[in-house]
Amino acid sequence: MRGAVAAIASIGLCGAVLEPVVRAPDEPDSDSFPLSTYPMFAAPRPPALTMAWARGVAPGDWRRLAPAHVGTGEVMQAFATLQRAASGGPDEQAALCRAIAARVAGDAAPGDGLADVFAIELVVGSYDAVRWLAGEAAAGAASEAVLARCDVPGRGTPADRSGR
Amino acid sequence: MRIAAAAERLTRAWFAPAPAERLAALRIAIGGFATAWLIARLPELATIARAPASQFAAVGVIRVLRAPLPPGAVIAIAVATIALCAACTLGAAYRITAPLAALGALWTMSYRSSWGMVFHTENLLVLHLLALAVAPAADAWALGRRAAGDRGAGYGWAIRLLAALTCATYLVAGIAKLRLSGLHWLDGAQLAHQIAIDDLRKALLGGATAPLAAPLVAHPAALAIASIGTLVIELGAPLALLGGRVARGWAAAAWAFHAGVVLAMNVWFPYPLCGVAFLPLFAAERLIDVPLRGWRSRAIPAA
Repeated sequence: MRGAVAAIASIGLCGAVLEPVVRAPDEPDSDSFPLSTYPMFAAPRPPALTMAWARGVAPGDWRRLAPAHVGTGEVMQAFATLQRAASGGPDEQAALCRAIAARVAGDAAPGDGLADVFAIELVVGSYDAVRWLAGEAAAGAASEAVLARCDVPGRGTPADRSGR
Repeated sequence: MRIAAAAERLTRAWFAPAPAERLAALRIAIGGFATAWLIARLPELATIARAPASQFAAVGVIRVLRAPLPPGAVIAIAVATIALCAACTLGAAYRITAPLAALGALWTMSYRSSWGMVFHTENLLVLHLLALAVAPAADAWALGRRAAGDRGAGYGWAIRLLAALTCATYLVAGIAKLRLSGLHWLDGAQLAHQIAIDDLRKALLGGATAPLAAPLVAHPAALAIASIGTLVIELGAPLALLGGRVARGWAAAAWAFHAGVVLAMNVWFPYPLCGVAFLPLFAAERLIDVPLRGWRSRAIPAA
């Protein structure tokens, strides 16, 4: 009896792990957990990347935010959240922008040097990742557009601060 | 006739005897890792549990849910799973705690992957816990252990199952590369694009970038070698089941591959990087037995 249980468990688990081989790994939703088609890094892709991201607007400059400001500790979950908002409507983009602004105001990631950030921008941009990585940041950024912009609560604008 | 003979040889090899201590050592290592991993992930789970329902994208067993669970329930399940994993590691009430720990880990880690990003770093850990749940892994080095009865199928099959699961996950990853990119995956350009895109994404999203990303992308020949090496390791994984030097060599190469992924992409696979994923290919009991004997010989000096 125990031999039969061992055989069923062995064949069942090994078969389940190998089953994704017969699935189409490039179809949406073909990946799962823990039985994966392991599509990550497997599909061919050009160096061009179009993605949405969020940045902090500071006087005369912009600041990089942390995944925690988007509501997660994981970079790739932050990425998924931002792409979903970008592909949603203006309401969804504005809501995410406000949520990020509230976290920046509340200093979700202490010591991040965001004290002078007075607004948040949700940006979608197209980049040549290889050129960008080679240090050609300007050449790597082909185009950028602001999807949503909102104020960080309680920070005011640079004009407010200078008393103008 | 030949097929029958091959099947019989395979069955004999699969069920070849192995010491109870080896399977127990794997229980302690895998269960211990799962306990520590879930504790480390708790703060992130607490954050995810409060994420807007619009971000919920159920995968695996979580597809039974139509909406996210209340945050309190997510945390309660995770904490209970940690306690069950700890009990399973100690071998306490194993026939109850091991299946519950495996199901809890499957649920909790699937839930973590149900927010737009599937964490492939946890697949093998969950599969190993599921295999341990049906294995007699608490017949040695277990809390409140009773004398083991007749273990008809023995312990060897469970150890080989754990090893086969390790190898199968790498094999599936290698086959995916061939199916999606074909032999183009070998020229290094694909890998260069993957590394550059991953690095740019992390840079824009405020994540830590990889120290070797830029120099590697600047040297396509090095990436062509890395691409070939990756595919050889992944497609060659089943050879590790032969054991001995082949298994040791493959495990070392697979570990080096993961270390390379950290340097090139800052993508961490802690389960293989700390070696636990490869332990079923080795005499794991020595990790516990050798220090234990040393401690005993010091504690009870020879008369």
